[in-house]
Amino acid sequence: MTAKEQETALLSVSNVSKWFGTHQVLNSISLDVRRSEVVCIIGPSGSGKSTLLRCMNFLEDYQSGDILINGKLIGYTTDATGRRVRDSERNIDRLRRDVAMVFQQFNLWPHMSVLDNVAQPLMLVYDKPKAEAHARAREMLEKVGLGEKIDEYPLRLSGGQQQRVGIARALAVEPAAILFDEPTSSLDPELVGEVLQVMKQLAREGMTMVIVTHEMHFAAEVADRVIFLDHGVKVEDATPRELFFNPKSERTRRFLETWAERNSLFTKNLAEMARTAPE
Amino acid sequence: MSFDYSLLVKYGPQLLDGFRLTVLVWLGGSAIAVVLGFALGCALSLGNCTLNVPIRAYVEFFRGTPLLVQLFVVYYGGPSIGITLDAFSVGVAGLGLYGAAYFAEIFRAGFASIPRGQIEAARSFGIPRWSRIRHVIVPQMLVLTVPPGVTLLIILLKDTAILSIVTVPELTFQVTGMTIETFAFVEPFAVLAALYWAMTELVSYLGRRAEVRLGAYLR
Repeated sequence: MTAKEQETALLSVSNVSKWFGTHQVLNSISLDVRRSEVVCIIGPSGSGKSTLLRCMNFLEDYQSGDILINGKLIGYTTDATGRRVRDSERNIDRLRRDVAMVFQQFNLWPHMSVLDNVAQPLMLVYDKPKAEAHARAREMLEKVGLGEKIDEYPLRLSGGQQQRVGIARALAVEPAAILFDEPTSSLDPELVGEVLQVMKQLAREGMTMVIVTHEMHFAAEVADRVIFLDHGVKVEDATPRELFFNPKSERTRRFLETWAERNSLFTKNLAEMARTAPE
Repeated sequence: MSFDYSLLVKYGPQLLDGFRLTVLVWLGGSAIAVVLGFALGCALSLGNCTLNVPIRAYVEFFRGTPLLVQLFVVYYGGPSIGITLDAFSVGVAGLGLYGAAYFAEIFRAGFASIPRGQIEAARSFGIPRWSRIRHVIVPQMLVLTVPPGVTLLIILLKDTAILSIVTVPELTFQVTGMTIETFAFVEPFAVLAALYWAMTELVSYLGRRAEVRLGAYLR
Protein backbone atom coordinates (compact mmCIF):
# COMPACT_ATOMS: atom_id res chain seq x y z
CA MET A 1 0.00 0.00 0.00
CA THR A 2 1.30 3.42 -0.90
CA ALA A 3 1.74 6.19 1.61
CA LYS A 4 -1.04 8.17 0.01
CA GLU A 5 -3.49 5.30 0.38
CA GLN A 6 -2.45 4.81 3.97
CA GLU A 7 -3.17 8.43 4.61
CA THR A 8 -6.68 8.22 3.28
CA ALA A 9 -7.68 5.05 5.14
CA LEU A 10 -10.63 6.06 7.24
CA LEU A 11 -10.92 2.73 8.98
CA SER A 12 -7.86 0.61 9.34
CA VAL A 13 -7.98 -2.88 10.77
CA SER A 14 -4.66 -4.62 11.20
CA ASN A 15 -3.98 -8.11 12.51
CA VAL A 16 -7.06 -8.13 14.71
CA SER A 17 -7.72 -11.30 16.65
CA LYS A 18 -10.50 -12.04 19.05
CA TRP A 19 -11.45 -14.98 21.19
CA PHE A 20 -14.69 -15.86 22.94
CA GLY A 21 -13.16 -17.97 25.72
CA THR A 22 -11.00 -20.52 23.91
CA HIS A 23 -12.86 -20.12 20.62
CA GLN A 24 -11.09 -17.84 18.17
CA VAL A 25 -13.65 -15.81 16.24
CA LEU A 26 -11.29 -13.45 14.42
CA ASN A 27 -7.92 -14.60 13.21
CA SER A 28 -5.47 -11.82 12.43
CA ILE A 29 -7.75 -9.82 10.17
CA SER A 30 -6.49 -6.81 8.28
CA LEU A 31 -8.43 -4.48 6.02
CA ASP A 32 -8.59 -0.82 5.15
CA VAL A 33 -11.61 1.23 4.27
CA ARG A 34 -10.92 4.45 2.41
CA ARG A 35 -13.12 7.48 2.15
CA SER A 36 -16.23 6.98 -0.03
CA GLU A 37 -15.50 3.30 -0.34
CA VAL A 38 -18.27 0.69 -0.06
CA VAL A 39 -16.99 -2.56 1.38
CA CYS A 40 -19.25 -5.60 1.70
CA ILE A 41 -18.37 -8.44 4.01
CA ILE A 42 -19.88 -11.81 3.14
CA GLY A 43 -19.46 -15.30 4.51
CA PRO A 44 -21.29 -18.16 6.19
CA SER A 45 -22.94 -17.61 9.56
CA GLY A 46 -20.49 -17.92 12.40
CA SER A 47 -17.65 -16.72 10.19
CA GLY A 48 -17.11 -13.63 12.35
CA LYS A 49 -18.53 -11.00 9.95
CA SER A 50 -20.75 -9.28 12.50
CA THR A 51 -18.14 -9.56 15.24
CA LEU A 52 -15.58 -7.86 13.00
CA LEU A 53 -18.02 -5.06 12.21
CA ARG A 54 -18.89 -4.62 15.89
CA CYS A 55 -15.20 -4.39 16.75
CA MET A 56 -14.92 -1.45 14.36
CA ASN A 57 -16.75 0.83 16.77
CA PHE A 58 -15.77 -1.17 19.82
CA LEU A 59 -19.14 -2.67 20.66
CA GLU A 60 -16.92 -5.73 20.99
CA ASP A 61 -13.41 -5.65 22.38
CA TYR A 62 -10.55 -7.48 20.68
CA GLN A 63 -7.50 -9.10 22.18
CA SER A 64 -4.79 -8.23 19.69
CA GLY A 65 -4.18 -6.06 16.67
CA ASP A 66 -5.23 -2.47 16.03
CA ILE A 67 -8.36 -0.81 14.75
CA LEU A 68 -7.81 2.81 13.78
CA ILE A 69 -10.55 5.31 13.11
CA ASN A 70 -9.08 8.31 11.28
CA GLY A 71 -5.70 7.13 12.43
CA LYS A 72 -6.66 6.87 16.10
CA LEU A 73 -6.70 3.55 17.93
CA ILE A 74 -10.15 2.74 19.28
CA GLY A 75 -10.69 0.94 22.56
CA TYR A 76 -7.17 0.86 23.92
CA THR A 77 -4.42 3.10 25.11
CA THR A 78 -0.97 2.62 26.55
CA ASP A 79 -0.39 3.06 30.27
CA ALA A 80 2.73 4.46 32.00
CA THR A 81 4.52 1.10 31.85
CA GLY A 82 3.84 0.77 28.12
CA ARG A 83 1.20 -1.91 28.54
CA ARG A 84 -1.96 -1.84 26.47
CA VAL A 85 -5.02 -1.08 28.60
CA ARG A 86 -8.66 -0.37 27.90
CA ASP A 87 -9.26 3.28 27.08
CA SER A 88 -11.68 5.41 29.09
CA GLU A 89 -15.35 5.25 28.08
CA ARG A 90 -15.12 8.95 27.33
CA ASN A 91 -12.40 8.51 24.74
CA ILE A 92 -14.09 5.48 23.24
CA ASP A 93 -17.36 7.40 22.94
CA ARG A 94 -15.58 10.27 21.25
CA LEU A 95 -14.06 8.06 18.55
CA ARG A 96 -17.34 6.23 18.05
CA ARG A 97 -18.97 9.43 16.88
CA ASP A 98 -17.27 9.04 13.52
CA VAL A 99 -18.78 5.66 12.74
CA ALA A 100 -22.53 5.26 13.04
CA MET A 101 -24.14 1.87 13.00
CA VAL A 102 -27.27 0.31 11.52
CA PHE A 103 -28.42 -2.92 13.13
CA GLN A 104 -30.08 -6.11 11.98
CA GLN A 105 -32.82 -5.68 14.60
CA PHE A 106 -33.04 -1.91 13.96
CA ASN A 107 -32.57 -1.22 17.69
CA LEU A 108 -34.72 1.88 17.62
CA TRP A 109 -35.87 3.26 20.96
CA PRO A 110 -39.57 2.29 21.04
CA HIS A 111 -40.68 4.86 23.61
CA MET A 112 -39.59 7.77 21.43
CA SER A 113 -41.30 9.05 18.30
CA VAL A 114 -39.58 8.43 15.00
CA LEU A 115 -38.46 12.06 14.99
CA ASP A 116 -36.98 11.80 18.49
CA ASN A 117 -35.18 8.59 17.59
CA VAL A 118 -33.28 10.51 14.93
CA ALA A 119 -32.93 13.76 16.89
CA GLN A 120 -31.88 12.30 20.25
CA PRO A 121 -28.23 11.46 19.43
CA LEU A 122 -27.82 15.01 18.08
CA MET A 123 -29.08 16.44 21.35
CA LEU A 124 -27.33 14.02 23.71
CA VAL A 125 -23.97 13.77 21.98
CA TYR A 126 -23.59 17.02 20.08
CA ASP A 127 -25.62 19.24 22.42
CA LYS A 128 -27.70 20.55 19.53
CA PRO A 129 -30.70 22.63 20.60
CA LYS A 130 -34.00 20.83 20.20
CA ALA A 131 -35.26 22.90 17.26
CA GLU A 132 -32.08 22.39 15.29
CA ALA A 133 -31.95 18.66 16.04
CA HIS A 134 -35.58 18.25 15.02
CA ALA A 135 -35.06 20.16 11.78
CA ARG A 136 -32.09 17.99 10.90
CA ALA A 137 -33.98 14.82 11.88
CA ARG A 138 -36.94 15.82 9.71
CA GLU A 139 -34.62 16.42 6.79
CA MET A 140 -33.00 12.99 7.17
CA LEU A 141 -36.36 11.25 7.50
CA GLU A 142 -37.56 12.94 4.33
CA LYS A 143 -34.41 11.73 2.63
CA VAL A 144 -35.25 8.11 3.44
CA GLY A 145 -38.87 8.65 2.40
CA LEU A 146 -40.44 8.82 5.85
CA GLY A 147 -41.38 12.48 6.09
CA GLU A 148 -44.97 11.43 6.78
CA LYS A 149 -44.12 9.20 9.72
CA ILE A 150 -42.20 11.51 12.02
CA ASP A 151 -44.80 11.46 14.80
CA GLU A 152 -45.35 7.70 14.81
CA TYR A 153 -43.85 5.32 17.31
CA PRO A 154 -41.34 2.89 15.75
CA LEU A 155 -43.33 -0.25 16.60
CA ARG A 156 -46.20 1.00 14.45
CA LEU A 157 -44.00 0.97 11.34
CA SER A 158 -43.16 -1.95 9.07
CA GLY A 159 -39.72 -3.53 9.35
CA GLY A 160 -38.55 -1.78 6.20
CA GLN A 161 -39.69 1.58 7.52
CA GLN A 162 -38.07 0.94 10.89
CA GLN A 163 -34.79 0.14 9.21
CA ARG A 164 -35.00 3.34 7.17
CA VAL A 165 -35.45 5.23 10.44
CA GLY A 166 -32.31 3.42 11.61
CA ILE A 167 -30.48 4.69 8.55
CA ALA A 168 -31.80 8.24 9.02
CA ARG A 169 -30.63 8.11 12.64
CA ALA A 170 -27.16 7.09 11.49
CA LEU A 171 -27.07 9.76 8.78
CA ALA A 172 -28.18 12.56 11.08
CA VAL A 173 -24.95 12.62 13.06
CA GLU A 174 -22.95 13.16 9.86
CA PRO A 175 -20.63 10.22 10.44
CA ALA A 176 -17.49 9.67 8.42
CA ALA A 177 -18.65 6.10 7.82
CA ILE A 178 -21.69 3.92 8.49
CA LEU A 179 -21.43 0.28 9.54
CA PHE A 180 -24.36 -1.91 8.47
CA ASP A 181 -24.82 -5.20 10.34
CA GLU A 182 -27.02 -7.38 8.13
CA PRO A 183 -29.47 -4.52 7.61
CA THR A 184 -32.01 -6.56 5.64
CA SER A 185 -31.70 -9.98 7.31
CA SER A 186 -34.71 -9.60 9.58
CA LEU A 187 -36.99 -8.11 6.93
CA ASP A 188 -39.79 -9.72 4.96
CA PRO A 189 -38.50 -10.34 1.42
CA GLU A 190 -40.93 -7.73 0.10
CA LEU A 191 -39.43 -5.02 2.29
CA VAL A 192 -35.77 -5.67 1.51
CA GLY A 193 -35.88 -3.60 -1.67
CA GLU A 194 -36.86 -0.30 -0.08
CA VAL A 195 -33.94 -0.50 2.35
CA LEU A 196 -31.41 -1.49 -0.31
CA GLN A 197 -32.68 1.37 -2.46
CA VAL A 198 -31.81 3.88 0.26
CA MET A 199 -28.40 2.28 0.76
CA LYS A 200 -27.68 2.43 -2.97
CA GLN A 201 -28.48 6.12 -2.95
CA LEU A 202 -26.04 6.67 -0.07
CA ALA A 203 -23.36 4.77 -1.95
CA ARG A 204 -23.91 6.98 -5.00
CA GLU A 205 -23.59 10.07 -2.84
CA GLY A 206 -20.18 8.90 -1.69
CA MET A 207 -20.95 7.73 1.85
CA THR A 208 -18.29 5.42 3.24
CA MET A 209 -20.00 2.16 4.10
CA VAL A 210 -19.04 -1.22 5.54
CA ILE A 211 -21.85 -3.69 5.03
CA VAL A 212 -22.20 -7.20 6.39
CA THR A 213 -24.75 -8.79 4.11
CA HIS A 214 -26.17 -11.90 2.51
CA GLU A 215 -27.53 -9.89 -0.42
CA MET A 216 -25.10 -10.96 -3.13
CA HIS A 217 -26.80 -9.02 -5.90
CA PHE A 218 -26.60 -5.89 -3.84
CA ALA A 219 -22.93 -6.51 -3.00
CA ALA A 220 -22.16 -7.12 -6.68
CA GLU A 221 -23.89 -3.94 -7.67
CA VAL A 222 -22.70 -1.39 -5.11
CA ALA A 223 -19.52 -2.68 -3.50
CA ASP A 224 -16.13 -1.36 -4.42
CA ARG A 225 -14.65 -4.33 -2.62
CA VAL A 226 -16.07 -7.57 -1.28
CA ILE A 227 -14.46 -9.45 1.56
CA PHE A 228 -15.14 -13.14 2.13
CA LEU A 229 -14.70 -14.32 5.69
CA ASP A 230 -14.70 -17.92 6.89
CA HIS A 231 -13.98 -19.20 10.39
CA GLY A 232 -12.63 -15.82 11.40
CA VAL A 233 -10.13 -15.71 8.54
CA LYS A 234 -10.17 -13.23 5.69
CA VAL A 235 -10.17 -15.64 2.77
CA GLU A 236 -10.52 -13.15 -0.03
CA ASP A 237 -10.61 -9.38 -0.52
CA ALA A 238 -11.27 -8.29 -4.09
CA THR A 239 -13.49 -6.32 -6.41
CA PRO A 240 -16.98 -7.83 -6.80
CA ARG A 241 -16.14 -8.87 -10.36
CA GLU A 242 -13.07 -10.82 -9.25
CA LEU A 243 -14.59 -12.27 -6.13
CA PHE A 244 -17.89 -13.37 -7.61
CA PHE A 245 -16.70 -14.50 -11.03
CA ASN A 246 -13.11 -15.45 -10.59
CA PRO A 247 -12.62 -16.35 -6.92
CA LYS A 248 -9.07 -17.33 -6.06
CA SER A 249 -9.89 -19.59 -3.18
CA GLU A 250 -11.66 -22.93 -3.36
CA ARG A 251 -13.57 -22.02 -0.19
CA THR A 252 -15.01 -18.87 -1.76
CA ARG A 253 -15.96 -20.82 -4.87
CA ARG A 254 -17.86 -23.41 -2.82
CA PHE A 255 -19.66 -20.75 -0.80
CA LEU A 256 -20.79 -18.94 -3.95
CA GLU A 257 -21.84 -22.19 -5.64
CA THR A 258 -24.01 -23.14 -2.69
CA TRP A 259 -25.56 -19.71 -2.76
CA ALA A 260 -26.14 -19.81 -6.52
CA GLU A 261 -27.72 -23.25 -6.32
CA ARG A 262 -30.10 -22.13 -3.62
CA ASN A 263 -31.10 -19.13 -5.68
CA SER A 264 -30.99 -20.71 -9.14
CA LEU A 265 -34.75 -20.98 -9.37
CA PHE A 266 -35.14 -17.22 -9.39
CA THR A 267 -31.73 -15.97 -10.45
CA LYS A 268 -31.79 -15.45 -14.18
CA ASN A 269 -28.14 -16.20 -14.50
CA LEU A 270 -24.80 -15.11 -13.25
CA ALA A 271 -24.14 -13.30 -16.51
CA GLU A 272 -26.82 -10.84 -15.53
CA MET A 273 -24.83 -10.09 -12.41
CA ALA A 274 -21.65 -9.84 -14.43
CA ARG A 275 -23.26 -7.22 -16.62
CA THR A 276 -24.29 -4.99 -13.74
CA ALA A 277 -21.16 -5.40 -11.64
CA PRO A 278 -18.82 -2.42 -11.72
CA GLU A 279 -15.34 -2.87 -13.16
CA MET B 1 -80.33 -12.37 59.89
CA SER B 2 -80.82 -8.67 59.40
CA PHE B 3 -78.11 -6.14 58.64
CA ASP B 4 -78.05 -3.52 61.38
CA TYR B 5 -77.21 -0.23 59.71
CA SER B 6 -77.56 1.76 62.92
CA LEU B 7 -74.34 0.22 64.12
CA LEU B 8 -72.50 1.82 61.22
CA VAL B 9 -74.02 5.19 61.95
CA LYS B 10 -73.07 4.93 65.59
CA TYR B 11 -69.50 3.95 64.84
CA GLY B 12 -69.25 6.19 61.78
CA PRO B 13 -66.72 8.69 63.16
CA GLN B 14 -64.43 5.90 64.38
CA LEU B 15 -64.62 4.11 61.06
CA LEU B 16 -63.85 7.34 59.26
CA ASP B 17 -60.84 7.94 61.52
CA GLY B 18 -59.62 4.44 60.82
CA PHE B 19 -60.14 4.85 57.11
CA ARG B 20 -58.21 8.09 57.08
CA LEU B 21 -55.34 6.52 58.96
CA THR B 22 -55.28 3.48 56.68
CA VAL B 23 -54.94 5.75 53.67
CA LEU B 24 -52.24 7.83 55.40
CA VAL B 25 -50.16 4.90 56.56
CA TRP B 26 -50.48 3.29 53.12
CA LEU B 27 -49.46 6.46 51.29
CA GLY B 28 -46.52 7.04 53.64
CA GLY B 29 -45.36 3.43 53.50
CA SER B 30 -45.77 3.26 49.72
CA ALA B 31 -43.80 6.46 49.20
CA ILE B 32 -40.89 5.03 51.20
CA ALA B 33 -41.22 1.68 49.43
CA VAL B 34 -41.18 3.17 45.93
CA VAL B 35 -38.38 5.67 46.53
CA LEU B 36 -36.14 3.33 48.52
CA GLY B 37 -36.98 0.41 46.21
CA PHE B 38 -36.07 2.52 43.17
CA ALA B 39 -32.75 3.49 44.71
CA LEU B 40 -31.97 -0.11 45.63
CA GLY B 41 -33.11 -1.42 42.24
CA CYS B 42 -30.88 1.12 40.50
CA ALA B 43 -27.94 0.23 42.71
CA LEU B 44 -28.43 -3.50 42.03
CA SER B 45 -28.69 -2.95 38.28
CA LEU B 46 -26.20 -0.17 37.67
CA GLY B 47 -23.96 0.05 40.73
CA ASN B 48 -20.82 -1.74 41.76
CA CYS B 49 -20.69 -5.25 43.16
CA THR B 50 -19.48 -4.53 46.69
CA LEU B 51 -22.59 -2.50 47.41
CA ASN B 52 -24.76 -5.33 46.11
CA VAL B 53 -23.96 -7.65 49.00
CA PRO B 54 -25.64 -5.61 51.77
CA ILE B 55 -28.50 -4.66 49.46
CA ARG B 56 -29.17 -8.28 48.57
CA ALA B 57 -29.06 -9.19 52.26
CA TYR B 58 -31.61 -6.46 52.95
CA VAL B 59 -33.91 -7.64 50.15
CA GLU B 60 -33.64 -11.28 51.18
CA PHE B 61 -34.40 -10.51 54.82
CA PHE B 62 -37.43 -8.33 54.21
CA ARG B 63 -38.82 -10.63 51.55
CA GLY B 64 -38.06 -13.72 53.56
CA THR B 65 -39.74 -12.88 56.87
CA PRO B 66 -43.40 -12.03 57.60
CA LEU B 67 -44.30 -8.37 57.89
CA LEU B 68 -45.91 -9.10 61.26
CA VAL B 69 -42.65 -10.48 62.64
CA GLN B 70 -40.71 -7.48 61.32
CA LEU B 71 -43.18 -5.16 63.03
CA PHE B 72 -42.87 -7.05 66.33
CA VAL B 73 -39.10 -6.85 66.16
CA VAL B 74 -39.14 -3.06 65.73
CA TYR B 75 -42.09 -2.27 67.98
CA TYR B 76 -41.32 -4.57 70.91
CA GLY B 77 -37.60 -5.15 70.40
CA GLY B 78 -36.75 -1.57 69.36
CA PRO B 79 -36.86 0.04 72.82
CA SER B 80 -34.22 -2.39 74.16
CA ILE B 81 -31.72 -0.96 71.65
CA GLY B 82 -32.89 2.58 72.12
CA ILE B 83 -35.35 2.88 69.24
CA THR B 84 -38.69 3.96 70.61
CA LEU B 85 -41.25 4.78 67.96
CA ASP B 86 -44.96 5.40 68.21
CA ALA B 87 -47.24 2.89 66.56
CA PHE B 88 -47.95 5.06 63.51
CA SER B 89 -44.24 5.58 62.74
CA VAL B 90 -43.55 1.89 63.16
CA GLY B 91 -46.42 1.22 60.76
CA VAL B 92 -45.20 3.60 58.06
CA ALA B 93 -41.55 2.60 58.40
CA GLY B 94 -42.36 -1.12 58.61
CA LEU B 95 -44.58 -1.04 55.55
CA GLY B 96 -42.03 1.07 53.67
CA LEU B 97 -39.04 -1.15 54.43
CA TYR B 98 -41.02 -4.27 53.65
CA GLY B 99 -42.38 -2.89 50.36
CA ALA B 100 -38.98 -1.50 49.32
CA ALA B 101 -37.52 -5.00 49.23
CA TYR B 102 -40.16 -6.05 46.70
CA PHE B 103 -39.94 -2.81 44.72
CA ALA B 104 -36.17 -3.25 44.47
CA GLU B 105 -36.75 -6.58 42.77
CA ILE B 106 -39.47 -5.17 40.50
CA PHE B 107 -37.21 -2.35 39.34
CA ARG B 108 -34.25 -4.69 38.96
CA ALA B 109 -36.34 -6.94 36.72
CA GLY B 110 -37.46 -3.84 34.78
CA PHE B 111 -33.86 -2.85 34.12
CA ALA B 112 -33.03 -6.37 33.00
CA SER B 113 -35.85 -6.44 30.47
CA ILE B 114 -34.59 -3.57 28.31
CA PRO B 115 -33.25 -5.23 25.14
CA ARG B 116 -29.44 -5.11 24.92
CA GLY B 117 -29.59 -3.94 21.33
CA GLN B 118 -31.20 -0.65 22.30
CA ILE B 119 -28.39 0.09 24.70
CA GLU B 120 -25.81 -0.90 22.08
CA ALA B 121 -27.42 1.47 19.60
CA ALA B 122 -27.04 4.28 22.13
CA ARG B 123 -23.42 3.29 22.78
CA SER B 124 -22.67 3.15 19.06
CA PHE B 125 -23.55 6.84 18.80
CA GLY B 126 -21.30 7.67 21.72
CA ILE B 127 -24.24 8.63 23.96
CA PRO B 128 -22.65 8.80 27.44
CA ARG B 129 -23.65 6.24 30.06
CA TRP B 130 -25.66 8.63 32.20
CA SER B 131 -27.70 9.82 29.21
CA ARG B 132 -28.28 6.22 28.13
CA ILE B 133 -29.68 5.43 31.55
CA ARG B 134 -31.80 8.56 31.75
CA HIS B 135 -33.18 8.73 28.22
CA VAL B 136 -33.18 5.14 26.97
CA ILE B 137 -33.39 2.79 29.93
CA VAL B 138 -35.28 4.41 32.80
CA PRO B 139 -38.35 5.69 30.88
CA GLN B 140 -39.02 2.24 29.45
CA MET B 141 -38.18 0.50 32.71
CA LEU B 142 -40.76 2.62 34.55
CA VAL B 143 -43.49 1.72 32.05
CA LEU B 144 -42.68 -1.99 32.30
CA THR B 145 -42.86 -1.86 36.08
CA VAL B 146 -46.33 -0.28 36.26
CA PRO B 147 -48.32 -3.57 36.32
CA PRO B 148 -46.24 -5.36 38.98
CA GLY B 149 -45.86 -2.07 40.86
CA VAL B 150 -49.61 -1.55 41.06
CA THR B 151 -50.08 -5.13 42.27
CA LEU B 152 -47.57 -4.51 45.01
CA LEU B 153 -49.28 -1.24 46.02
CA ILE B 154 -52.53 -3.20 46.35
CA ILE B 155 -50.82 -5.83 48.48
CA LEU B 156 -49.36 -3.09 50.70
CA LEU B 157 -52.79 -1.51 51.02
CA LYS B 158 -54.26 -4.76 52.30
CA ASP B 159 -51.25 -5.41 54.53
CA THR B 160 -51.98 -2.22 56.44
CA ALA B 161 -54.54 -4.41 58.26
CA ILE B 162 -51.61 -6.18 59.94
CA LEU B 163 -50.63 -2.89 61.58
CA SER B 164 -53.72 -3.21 63.84
CA ILE B 165 -51.76 -5.87 65.75
CA VAL B 166 -49.13 -3.32 66.76
CA THR B 167 -51.96 -0.95 67.80
CA VAL B 168 -51.98 1.43 64.83
CA PRO B 169 -55.60 2.68 65.08
CA GLU B 170 -56.32 2.14 61.38
CA LEU B 171 -59.46 0.71 59.86
CA THR B 172 -59.08 -2.93 60.89
CA PHE B 173 -58.13 -1.84 64.42
CA GLN B 174 -61.29 0.26 64.69
CA VAL B 175 -63.49 -2.49 63.34
CA THR B 176 -61.99 -5.05 65.69
CA GLY B 177 -62.72 -2.70 68.58
CA MET B 178 -66.26 -2.34 67.33
CA THR B 179 -66.84 -6.10 67.31
CA ILE B 180 -65.54 -6.43 70.85
CA GLU B 181 -67.89 -3.76 72.11
CA THR B 182 -71.00 -4.84 70.22
CA PHE B 183 -70.55 -8.58 69.68
CA ALA B 184 -71.69 -7.90 66.13
CA PHE B 185 -69.39 -9.52 63.59
CA VAL B 186 -71.21 -9.60 60.28
CA GLU B 187 -71.81 -5.89 59.80
CA PRO B 188 -68.36 -4.63 60.82
CA PHE B 189 -66.41 -7.17 58.81
CA ALA B 190 -68.66 -6.89 55.78
CA VAL B 191 -68.11 -3.13 55.80
CA LEU B 192 -64.38 -3.63 56.35
CA ALA B 193 -64.08 -5.98 53.38
CA ALA B 194 -66.15 -3.64 51.20
CA LEU B 195 -63.99 -0.64 52.10
CA TYR B 196 -60.72 -2.44 51.35
CA TRP B 197 -62.16 -3.75 48.12
CA ALA B 198 -63.34 -0.30 47.07
CA MET B 199 -59.91 1.15 47.75
CA THR B 200 -58.02 -1.61 45.92
CA GLU B 201 -60.39 -1.36 42.95
CA LEU B 202 -59.70 2.34 42.73
CA VAL B 203 -55.94 1.75 42.81
CA SER B 204 -56.26 -0.99 40.25
CA TYR B 205 -58.35 1.23 37.97
CA LEU B 206 -55.83 4.06 38.17
CA GLY B 207 -53.05 1.57 37.52
CA ARG B 208 -54.74 0.26 34.39
CA ARG B 209 -55.19 3.79 33.10
CA ALA B 210 -51.56 4.60 33.73
CA GLU B 211 -50.55 1.39 31.98
CA VAL B 212 -52.57 2.23 28.88
CA ARG B 213 -51.44 5.83 28.72
CA LEU B 214 -47.73 5.31 29.47
CA GLY B 215 -47.45 2.17 27.35
CA ALA B 216 -49.12 3.67 24.27
CA TYR B 217 -45.92 3.23 22.28
CA LEU B 218 -46.09 -0.54 22.68
CA ARG B 219 -49.37 -0.84 20.77
